[in-house]
Amino acid sequence: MSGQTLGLNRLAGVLLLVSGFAASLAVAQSPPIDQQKQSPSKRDAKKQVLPLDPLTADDRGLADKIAREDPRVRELLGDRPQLVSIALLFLKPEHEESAAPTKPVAIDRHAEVLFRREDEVGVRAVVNLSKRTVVSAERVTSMELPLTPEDISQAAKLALADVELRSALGDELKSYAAAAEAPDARTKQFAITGLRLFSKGEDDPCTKHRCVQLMFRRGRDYLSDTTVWVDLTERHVYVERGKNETH
Amino acid sequence: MRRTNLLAVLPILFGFLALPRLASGQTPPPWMPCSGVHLIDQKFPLVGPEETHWRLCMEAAPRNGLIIHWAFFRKSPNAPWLRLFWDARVSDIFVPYHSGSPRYYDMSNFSFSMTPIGSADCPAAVGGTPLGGTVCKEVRDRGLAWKDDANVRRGQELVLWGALDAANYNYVIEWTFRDDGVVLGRVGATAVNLPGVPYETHVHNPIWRMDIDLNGFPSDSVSFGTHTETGPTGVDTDPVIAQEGPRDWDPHAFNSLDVSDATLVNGHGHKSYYQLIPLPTGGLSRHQESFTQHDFWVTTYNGTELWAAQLPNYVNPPQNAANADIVVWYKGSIHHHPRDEDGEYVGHYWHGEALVMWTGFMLKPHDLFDRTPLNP
Repeated sequence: MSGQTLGLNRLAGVLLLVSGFAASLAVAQSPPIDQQKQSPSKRDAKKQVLPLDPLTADDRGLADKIAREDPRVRELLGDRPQLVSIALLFLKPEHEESAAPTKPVAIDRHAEVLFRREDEVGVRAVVNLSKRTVVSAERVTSMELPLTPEDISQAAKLALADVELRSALGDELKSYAAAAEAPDARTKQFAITGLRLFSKGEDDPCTKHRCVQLMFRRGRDYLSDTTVWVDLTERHVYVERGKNETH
Repeated sequence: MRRTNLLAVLPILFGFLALPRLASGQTPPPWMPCSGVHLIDQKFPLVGPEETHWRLCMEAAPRNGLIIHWAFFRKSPNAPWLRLFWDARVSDIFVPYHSGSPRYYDMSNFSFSMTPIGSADCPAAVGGTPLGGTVCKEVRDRGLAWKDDANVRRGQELVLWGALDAANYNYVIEWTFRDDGVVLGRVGATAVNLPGVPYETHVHNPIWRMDIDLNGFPSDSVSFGTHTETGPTGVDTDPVIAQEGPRDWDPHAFNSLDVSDATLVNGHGHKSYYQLIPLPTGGLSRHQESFTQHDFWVTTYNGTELWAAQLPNYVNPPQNAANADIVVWYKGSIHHHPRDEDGEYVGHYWHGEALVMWTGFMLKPHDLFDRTPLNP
């Protein structure tokens, strides 16, 4: 074999090697359908957080901190704001290179942080967790703020101190008092849940105040001849008994 | 010489590893912004060569329940992946009672969590797989796709559902992705009737928000499909909705919101679109709140505009909605007139569960395929 032939062979080998690697890399960049679904521990250890991965406790802490430190949010919040909720937001980037990208796309992770002021007005901050900035901050109405489990717990404790309700609950009062410490614990025999009440009447306190209708569940049944609602803003309890309505 | 042969063998080996996948000619799957149980990938039919394929992300969230993100559809193994949704969710469930009060906003006013789901809700025997403890995935037969005398084809579907634990109510939020490219959205309400007024009629109004992106997020338009008849002659019109705003559904006019993209056509050169078609159960309500005065709304994309009650504000002043990044909204209704079957008083307590009542819609492809793959 001449030196020239040997050289050509080597060149062909190198070319084939390069093309082989290239083909393999092409496949690696277009993973089989289920590959992204599986989570081999080695790959996970190096895996970056994906835009739709659920928020972790650290993410929530960071979002809260970024929001509270922002001057616009601080100005809107006033004194002693209460954190209401933090939720993942999946916002679009400004531009999109491909409608069906086969490679990872840089999409910032965002969170919506809601606060309640002492006067019941809400503040919404949109936080960019990737860039650690506040994208927007605005006031929202009380109506746009969700109740929290703490609201239900607070309303339940207020209600259970009411003489009328204590009388209605009788021997079951103690069980409901325990439930008030952990509202919405569906697996328990006794539970207290609630819904936010709104009114449109000008004289009705629940037109402007934060009001909760409480529900008392024993097993699968709900206390139904007694209606209980609590004005959390004024800390006032309303109990209506004997409402055994018929068809 | 031996070294040269080795160099030559290695790439052949690599090449062989690559060949089976490259030779198939399938378009590579899109990268997805989710993983684990949140990434759903389903080809149809379940057995045999692929005809169609769905790939999407699901999020089980407090407040809104089951949310769909980045839903891609591939109409044939060699076709490009088409993104249908950036985000699809139930925005809110508004529940006014007949006496005028209460008037609940069951999603926006509380961070309700999703109920647990196990094998009793989601049995393997019907194609069910519980995902993440709160979502059920069912992959199943969906009945007849078509029939022509003795020739017949049954269809298949992927169903994702989860339930929101809304105090005395459970709301079942369901998304169905069919082998023919159709998407169905449904909400079911099941409950212990409202304590204090278990016999009072009320309406559950789920309002869906769907950020539809065909071929990427710019350049989408929404047309308002309408059928009219004069004498014996019928005509279908489909004018583009030029500005943000509401539309009303008339069952006699077969109204639909038809979403298209300026760049998306099928092999015949026909404009492809997805039709949003109401599937009401009994009727669609109107209440005094202005956002309930219409069945459809079209808005332009704003990622923080998520709440249905704010729709009149979102469209004021109205922006251009043609050839834009659009979001469509649809309000369904469940009229719950309590009945003895729901339950009864036992002492001071109400015992019984109202059975699931449903409402929903269909998103149906039109001129997306050159011909349905279910009848090749």
